[in-house]
Amino acid sequence: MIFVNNSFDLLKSQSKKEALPDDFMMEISENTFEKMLKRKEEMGFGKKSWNEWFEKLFANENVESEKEIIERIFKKGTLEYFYEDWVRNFALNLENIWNGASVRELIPQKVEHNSSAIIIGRGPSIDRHNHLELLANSNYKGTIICTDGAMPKVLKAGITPDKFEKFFTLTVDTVDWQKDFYNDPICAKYGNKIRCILSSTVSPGVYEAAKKANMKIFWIHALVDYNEGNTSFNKMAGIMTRAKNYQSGLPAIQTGGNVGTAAWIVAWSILKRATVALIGIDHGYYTETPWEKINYHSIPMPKDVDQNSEEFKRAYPTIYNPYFNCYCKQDPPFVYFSNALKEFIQRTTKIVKTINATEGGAIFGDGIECMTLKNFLSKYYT
Amino acid sequence: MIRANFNIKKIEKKEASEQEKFEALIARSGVGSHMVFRSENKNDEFFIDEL
Repeated sequence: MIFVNNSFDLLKSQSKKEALPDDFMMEISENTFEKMLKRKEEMGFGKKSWNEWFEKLFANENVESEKEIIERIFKKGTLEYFYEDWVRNFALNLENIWNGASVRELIPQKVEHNSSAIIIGRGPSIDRHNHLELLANSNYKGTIICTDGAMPKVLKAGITPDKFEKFFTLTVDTVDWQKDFYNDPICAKYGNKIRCILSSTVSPGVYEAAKKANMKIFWIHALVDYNEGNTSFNKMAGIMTRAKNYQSGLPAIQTGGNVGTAAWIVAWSILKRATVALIGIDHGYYTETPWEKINYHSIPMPKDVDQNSEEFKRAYPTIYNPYFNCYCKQDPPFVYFSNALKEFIQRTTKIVKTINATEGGAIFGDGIECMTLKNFLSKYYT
Repeated sequence: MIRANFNIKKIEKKEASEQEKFEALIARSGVGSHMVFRSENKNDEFFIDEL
């Protein structure tokens, strides 16, 4: 039997989504019943069923936008999947963090208002528009922030710290196989001139691989649960970091869920660049690429999904980019990432100018300037 | 206290709604490699200088 008053059983059963038992009963006080009856009548449900009134009550509660629904689902999944890895990796990295350098060392004394950076991702536009070749052959003197996954290809294309002196790379992901990017022999060739920013929760294998490639490593925290107060992992990680050598702790950044957005945050919040261009940050795919051939997030499309269903069309939308006159299709992770990045760009237009130079993709809208990479390189060269 | 004297009828569950199917599809698509951080203090959402 489930009691309404002073019982947690009802809450527990609801959270488990148990079926309503045939012998379900509930006990309420007369006072509560009178209040329910009065409120039901006040809301125009006097002659309607209790169930209709309850459905109305709960429908009005916490009405979520589609963006909020997607964030809620991804937050739950990511926490369940990665929380223990974050804590374990941080524990294993702590000695190296104490003995290493803070990303604060990269904050310039003077902010140059005509400074710019290019964030390089590994989205499909990078090949379609020959962006690596175009950049490699340019005289661009600004900052390059290369996402970890793009680094081997970028270096092999001739975008090296020998030519582009302000060359940074970044890892925020937790999984161990990120080290494969650093273990590519081309990274060891240029490693001593590459500044590598690592989240305090990366796999220790990534740290070892970056160190082996002779990169100079700078530590940063990734924000995950700082809003939950003193018992949050972020708070405790901060306290442990400050226990030795770091009286001021480390800077902590929003990752937006992925390394490309984290690189964009680093560009203006840490490196203080005034203009940031994006290439290879598509947050989507070309429409002609079949879903079955896409495995970008290492999770193939389930075979039993009906691609003609309404829910599929909502979850995997095809969008028109009017700035580059092209279409792009997204999977749910890229909808999640792009929703956040577009919102962040809109909220920071007074601090940083953001340019989508991918010549396509999903990052467009208020506060985002769109231009070809060729055009960007002709306007911004420092 | 009174025991509820209204008849509680078990309403058979319908097939999953389009919304439920949509949310299930999102959940099956994987997890982010990291996550979007949200805070009631919007100033904290981009970066914190000293943690």
